[in-house]
Order: sequence, then C-alpha cells, then structure tokens
Amino acid sequence: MKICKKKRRFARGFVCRTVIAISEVVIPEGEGIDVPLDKEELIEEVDTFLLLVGPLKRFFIKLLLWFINYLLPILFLRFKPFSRLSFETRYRIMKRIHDSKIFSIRGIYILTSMLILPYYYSRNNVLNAIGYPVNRFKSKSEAA
Amino acid sequence: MIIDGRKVEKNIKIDADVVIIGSGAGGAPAAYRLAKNGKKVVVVEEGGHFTKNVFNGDSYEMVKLMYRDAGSVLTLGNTGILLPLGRTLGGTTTINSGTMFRTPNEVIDEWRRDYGIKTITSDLLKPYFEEVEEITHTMEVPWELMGRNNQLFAEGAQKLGLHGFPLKRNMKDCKGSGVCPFGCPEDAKQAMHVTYIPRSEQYGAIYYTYAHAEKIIIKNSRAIGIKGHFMKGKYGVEKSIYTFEIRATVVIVSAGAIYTPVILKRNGIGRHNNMVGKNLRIHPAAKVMGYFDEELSSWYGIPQAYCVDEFADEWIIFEGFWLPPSMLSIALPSFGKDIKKMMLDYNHLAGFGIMVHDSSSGMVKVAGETPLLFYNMNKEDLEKFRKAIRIASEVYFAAGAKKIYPPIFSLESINSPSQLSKIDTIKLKPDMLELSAFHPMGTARMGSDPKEAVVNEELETFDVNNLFVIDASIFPTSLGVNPQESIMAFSSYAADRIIARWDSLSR
Ligand SMILES: Cc1cc2nc3c(=O)[nH]c(=O)nc-3n(C[C@H](O)[C@H](O)[C@H](O)COP(=O)(O)OP(=O)(O)OC[C@H]3O[C@@H](n4cnc5c(N)ncnc54)[C@H](O)[C@@H]3O)c2cc1C
Repeated sequence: MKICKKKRRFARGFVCRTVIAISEVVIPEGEGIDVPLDKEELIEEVDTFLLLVGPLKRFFIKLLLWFINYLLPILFLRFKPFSRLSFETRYRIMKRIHDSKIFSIRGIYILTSMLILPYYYSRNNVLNAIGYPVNRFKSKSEAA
Repeated sequence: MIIDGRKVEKNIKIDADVVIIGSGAGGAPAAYRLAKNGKKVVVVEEGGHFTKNVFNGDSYEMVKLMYRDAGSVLTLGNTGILLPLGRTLGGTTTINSGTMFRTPNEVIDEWRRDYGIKTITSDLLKPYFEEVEEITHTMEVPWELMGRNNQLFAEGAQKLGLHGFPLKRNMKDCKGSGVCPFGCPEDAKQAMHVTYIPRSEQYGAIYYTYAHAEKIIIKNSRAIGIKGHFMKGKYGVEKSIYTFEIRATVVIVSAGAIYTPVILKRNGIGRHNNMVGKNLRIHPAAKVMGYFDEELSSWYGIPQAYCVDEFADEWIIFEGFWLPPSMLSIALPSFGKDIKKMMLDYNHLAGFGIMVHDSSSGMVKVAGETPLLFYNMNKEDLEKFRKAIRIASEVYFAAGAKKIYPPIFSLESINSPSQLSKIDTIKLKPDMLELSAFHPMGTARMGSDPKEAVVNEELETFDVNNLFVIDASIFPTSLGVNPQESIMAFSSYAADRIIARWDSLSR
C-alpha cells in the first residue's frame, strides 16, 4: 500500500496496513453518509495519536494491531494477514468481535475503533452530511 | 506571568516560597491565595496554555491539545472505563462541564464518623465555598440556555413527579455554545485559566507550562523543592533537554487523583502504610439516549444543565450531557453501516447521564511514569446502574421518545415502554455496561490516622514535612456530586493553613 510506505514515526508498515484494513469495514463506503474516508489523512492522525498516548500505550496498541493482522485471522481459520483478506471476510471477523459476549474480545473492536471513528466523524463534510453545524466558531479557529 | 516551557532554552534554577505541581482545581486557588498573601509562588503545569483564541469547538482537535493521552485514559478490571483527564493550564477545569456543587453535609459527617476527621466541618468550609462561588460566578442555569436536550429530560422527569433542578455552574455571559468539555469558545465558563490563574498572576505568581515535574527534593524528611524537565514539540509531549529546579519552603502536589500518586510513589512517599494510589473512586457514569421525532439540535445550549436528584439517597444522580459526533461515534451500540445510519439520526437523539456515588474502589499503580488504573465495579454499584438506566428510560418515554438506547451490551434498543422490563431481567455484568468516569478521587486520602491516610487534616503528608497534597486525591470517599467546587474550597482552606503556619514551616 503506497500510503504505508511514506515515512512516519509510528503509523507505518503493518500498523498502517492494519488500520486501513479495519477502517474499511468500520466505515464502509457509501451506506448512508456518502463521504469517503481520506485514508492518508487518517493515517497521519493515527501517527499523531500514537505520539500523544506515550510509549507504554503505543507499545500496547501496536501489539494489538500486530495481533489483529497476524494472529486473529488464524483463529477464524484464515491463513493470510488481516490486511490481505477480502472486505467480506474482514467485515465478518470484525463484526464477530464487536458482538462478542467476552469483554476482552469486544475490547479489541472498542480500542481500534477509537483510532478511526472520532477522526471520520469530525471531518467537515461528514458533519455537514449529519447536519451538525460546522465552523460555528470559525473566526476563533482562524485565530488559532 | 505564564511562560511557555517549549520556548525555554536553558536549564533554570529558581528560589520560591511555594512551588505547586499542577494548575487545576487544586493548584490554582492555592496559588492565588498564597500569592495574595505575599508568597512567591511558582506553578509548573505539564500541559499548554489555551484560551478562547484557540477554542474553536472542534472536539477532535481540542482533545489532542488538552486531554491527557488524547483522551484515551482507561481503567482496567472487571470492566473498562474511559476516564478523560485534562492536561492543560487550568487542569481538567478548562475542559470540564462547569457544574458546581458544595460538598454534601452527609459526606462531611461520614468523614467525621468513619475516618476520624474532626476539623473539617460544613461551617468551616462555608466561607470558602462562598468565596469560590463568587470568584467563579457560580449561578443557576437559566431555562433558555439549557437546550432542548436538557429540557426534554426535565419535562419527562416532571411528568413522572421526580425531583430535579437546573444545575449551578461557573459562568459569565454564557451563550450556550454547547462545547464546554472542549474549551469554551467564549471563555464564559469560569475555569481556572480565566479566574484564579489571572488573579494569582496579578500577585506575581509565575506559571511554567509544558513543564513536567518529576522529583521532589527531600532533605531530613522535609520537602525543599522539585526538579523536572520541559516538554517540546507541537503538542508538548516530548521531553526537552532543558530542566528546571525550583527550591521552595513549601511544595504542593496538585497533579490530580491519577498523577499525584504517580509523583508520590516515584518519590517513595507513603511507603509507611502503602496507601498512596489506593482507594480510587471515580463516580462511574453511563448515558441513556433517546430517539425523538422532533429535531432537537442537542448541540445548542449548555450540555450539563439539569439534574434529577430524586434518588440521591440511593447514591444515583442524573445530569445532562451531550457529545459531538466524533465522541458519540465510539459510544453507539452499532457497527459499520449501522453507525452511519444512527449518525444520520444525530439531530433526533437526546442523551442524559447517570452518575453513581461509588462504593466500589480501585487503585493507581505505576509502571515507569505511566499510571495503571485498576477498578472493579461491585454488585451494589452495578445494581444502581440497572435501576438508573430503567428510570432514565422511563423519563425519556414520558418525554415522548420513540426509542431508547440503553448503555447495556446486548440490549441495543428498547422500542416501547412495555419492553422496559428487559432492563430488570437481563443478567447484568459490569463489563456489559458502556461506562465512563470524570471524577477520579481519593488516592492520597486525608485522615487523622497516619496508618490509614496519606495526608493530615491540613493536607500535609504524614511522611514528609512541608509537602502538601491539594487536589481530588485527598477525599476519603467519593462525594456523590461533581467535585470541582469541593476541591477549590479545600485548596483555599489548605492555603490558609499554610499561611497560618508559615513561621514554623519556614523554620
Ligand atoms: C469532561 C469532564 C467534565 C467534567 N465536568 C465537571 C463538572 O461539570 N463539575 C465538576 O465539579 N467536575 C467536573 N469534572 C471533574 C473536575 O474537572 C476535576 O475533578 C477537577 O478538575 C480535578 O482537579 P484536580 O486539581 O484534582 O486535577 P486537575 O484539574 O486535573 O489538575 C491537575 C493538573 O496537573 C497537571 N500535572 C499532572 N502531572 C504533572 C506533572 N508531573 N508535572 C506538572 N503538571 C502535572 C495536569 O496536566 C493537570 O493540568 C469533569 C471532568 C471531565 C474530564
């Protein structure tokens, strides 16, 4: 993936590929709000997030993404990294995790979605689609 | 004077009378009172300085700037609880909802009865509360600033005969911008950065931002200063090579109930009874949401404006809240395309918060410089949530909701009042609740017995002389109400005690 080849501090390689693979199923294209996800911008944001959370959490998040990419598919009898599975298979796996009765499994979805959903639902064109007033305090934001 | 630590390009050494770590509800009022009394006060704050010039209502950006770990602080245990903390000048007050409550008398009575705290009485605190309320312009929310979200819950509660009232908040010329937890774009919310901090600056207090305190210098069991380093980078989260050393007669730790124990533990304080970091209380909270046919524009008006306290004696209260789409998106009970669908209903959604005065407790452990938070919810608190979710759902149906989204895993929605019994019968476990918490407390608790407590009734540590803890850590129990006014009042009181004892402290 070209986006993942760009030099970044933290969100590169499997981290980048896994986040993109998850983002495609967590925010499926079309479907209601027809605003595509800007994956390059998302990865820049994930890079910043990984900086902000500090070394211990960063290690843990990277470990979690590594687990999702390389081990999770095996538990579902798929022998390819998560980022190379078809959309349908990824969707099914993430949905099963989201619906799991076991909290620590559900936690995988909760933690990874925190990397993706707040970014998408803060973009101006998405907010416009929802009807949330964007730039209500625009003059302030320009001052910033 | 406020000095941006990212711009400091040399190691600094200062002498002061008082050095304070943290500029939140605990640190700032003490800084003001001590500076006003003629003390040379220096405050170090790990976060940056932001005001209405920066606050633009963009929750996503503001969280990155002002929330610890970009808002990702979590507790571990029999459930996971999101526990946002401020990391900015003014501490968490800059990003909080502004609600003000005095410490309830019953709580102070409980401290006397169960924790042997004798000097702290409601009468003693009364003038401090009055002063805090004056300085922070505490007033009742007018109905028209409440926004439809709060009004609906109030209407529903009234129909059911439940007691409620408009909350008191610190505010001046509030326009109901609706984004209090992301920095008030009008600086109408009277947080520390617009009240106590500028007042203390007038008396010469100096604030270093992006300054991370690490070490408490102790000599002969007496605190004589602190050491630390400045931060660098856009967000000020990277360690700069430049350091500071501030020598002072009195050292005050006001880093909040999660980071104060980190500082104390890393400096070996509290080892005699191992109480530092224990007794973590958080006021666990959950939200119930309702879908209404009418367009609500829940983003207008003060998000936390109304309170239903009918069940306060059962340790449950209800307070308004509202979340922008970026935050709500992670708190919805759906997946993938269904989140998108629910988000399209955003304008029809209302939400109200449940806050439980917890009998459960947890602890702060420290790994390197990182706090690890553990909290197990007990059965009693779990059942409080069951009851509260049921009540909030009834209120929403009474207010005309067509559908309820309870914060319970596997109970995605409730479509009519006849389905409410599902809440009563579901086999509930703590990890099935979608929880957050905003009021960490109790991790360096006050008491009369050095075997049980970390600080005495003047908030000085039992272990080290001239070292004070002034923040949410000192409460022996949770308060059952939003804590900032109590923290500010205790801060003013403790500063007065320091002033009264100044001669002996400086000997
Ligand atoms: C979203 C939200 C809404 C809230 N709403 C309300 C409300 O409406 N009413 C209410 O009463 N309470 C509310 N609260 C809680 C309230 O704001 C806090 O209880 C209160 O601010 C705690 O005061 P404190 O002094 O203990 O800590 P804080 O206010 O958090 O201040 C601690 C400061 O210390 C700094 N610090 C930490 N470690 C170091 C270090 N090593 N070196 C230098 N500085 C350091 C931190 O950066 C921080 O700025 C809310 C909290 C949140 C998160």
